[in-house]
Amino acid sequence: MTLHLIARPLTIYFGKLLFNLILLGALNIFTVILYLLFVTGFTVGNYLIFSVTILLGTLGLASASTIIAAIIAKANTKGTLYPVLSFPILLPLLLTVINATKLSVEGAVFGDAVGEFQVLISYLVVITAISYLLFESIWKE
Amino acid sequence: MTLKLFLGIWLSLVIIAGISFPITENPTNWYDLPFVPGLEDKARIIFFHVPMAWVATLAFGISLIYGIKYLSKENLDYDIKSVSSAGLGLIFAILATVTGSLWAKFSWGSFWNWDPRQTSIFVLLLIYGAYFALRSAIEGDEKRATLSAVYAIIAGVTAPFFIFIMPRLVEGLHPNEAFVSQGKISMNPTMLVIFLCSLSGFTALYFWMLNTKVRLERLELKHHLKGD
Repeated sequence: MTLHLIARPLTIYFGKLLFNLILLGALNIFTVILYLLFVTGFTVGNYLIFSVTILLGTLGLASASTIIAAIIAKANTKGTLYPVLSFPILLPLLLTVINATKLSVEGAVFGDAVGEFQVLISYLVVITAISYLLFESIWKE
Repeated sequence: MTLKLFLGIWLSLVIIAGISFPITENPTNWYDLPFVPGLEDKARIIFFHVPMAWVATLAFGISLIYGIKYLSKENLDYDIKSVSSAGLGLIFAILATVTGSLWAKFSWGSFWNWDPRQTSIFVLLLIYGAYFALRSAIEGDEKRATLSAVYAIIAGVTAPFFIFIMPRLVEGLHPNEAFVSQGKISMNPTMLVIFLCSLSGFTALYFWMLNTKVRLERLELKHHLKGD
């Protein structure tokens, strides 16, 4: 409640976004290290595609889940709502990331994955821009 | 009243014509429908499936526009229009899915086989299912209206990705080429007339249903406000 008085809505939004980014980034790096160490037969063919995919995937996932979590924070029943709301929003991101990871494991050249990266970048820009515009009306409720 | 009656007769004629006009190899009479290679008798579904999909798109678009209007004006009447249109859109989207998968059973051999079109309409149904789940989880009219409008806008901006991503991932089998070639509609005149009559008839049906639903919701809101 005091946050409503002392901070501007966009400050709160970017703070939340930054927190989610750091959390998801750390988790993703940890998971990748575990995968490379312990899953037998998992080798990455093209590390450039792989790392760009992880970077863009983390950014997209963090910004989409921040705004959905903001909506859900205002709802009365919070527990089961998150997967229901986020799944259709995240699906285009997930499908593209899966495809790009597949390309990187198969050892494709960077040029093959440019289409996937374009989709990921446009998804990131669209979601962040729309969150920037809409966060204030969620925050006021 | 007369309008309702006219609409009923109009749609009955469209349905009778769509189902009963014979499909022949060489259309000679005015009522003969042409033979479409690969579709044969199954081509009749175009009179019902395409209008359903079109009305669903229209209804979701109108719902989105009223959602944006609500966020800028904060007038609950816009929210009533938005949610009524979304509900109707969901009904028409389900009808489009059902007619589409009936057709798929006889053309592709199974009701559901994750064709890109089927996947994208499945996600559309998920989005609006989530939209109504969100609405039922929020108390307070203004809060519910704002949050569901925000969710509809976020879902609306991510939806185009499906139109561009899905065809890139999988080759579709959805027969657009049968009627649309090089951006032009190539259809026999009789078929085109029935198709356009069906399209306009179902669009009019949607607007009539929307009007009725909006009036009902307004009464319910008034009753609800008086009760508090």
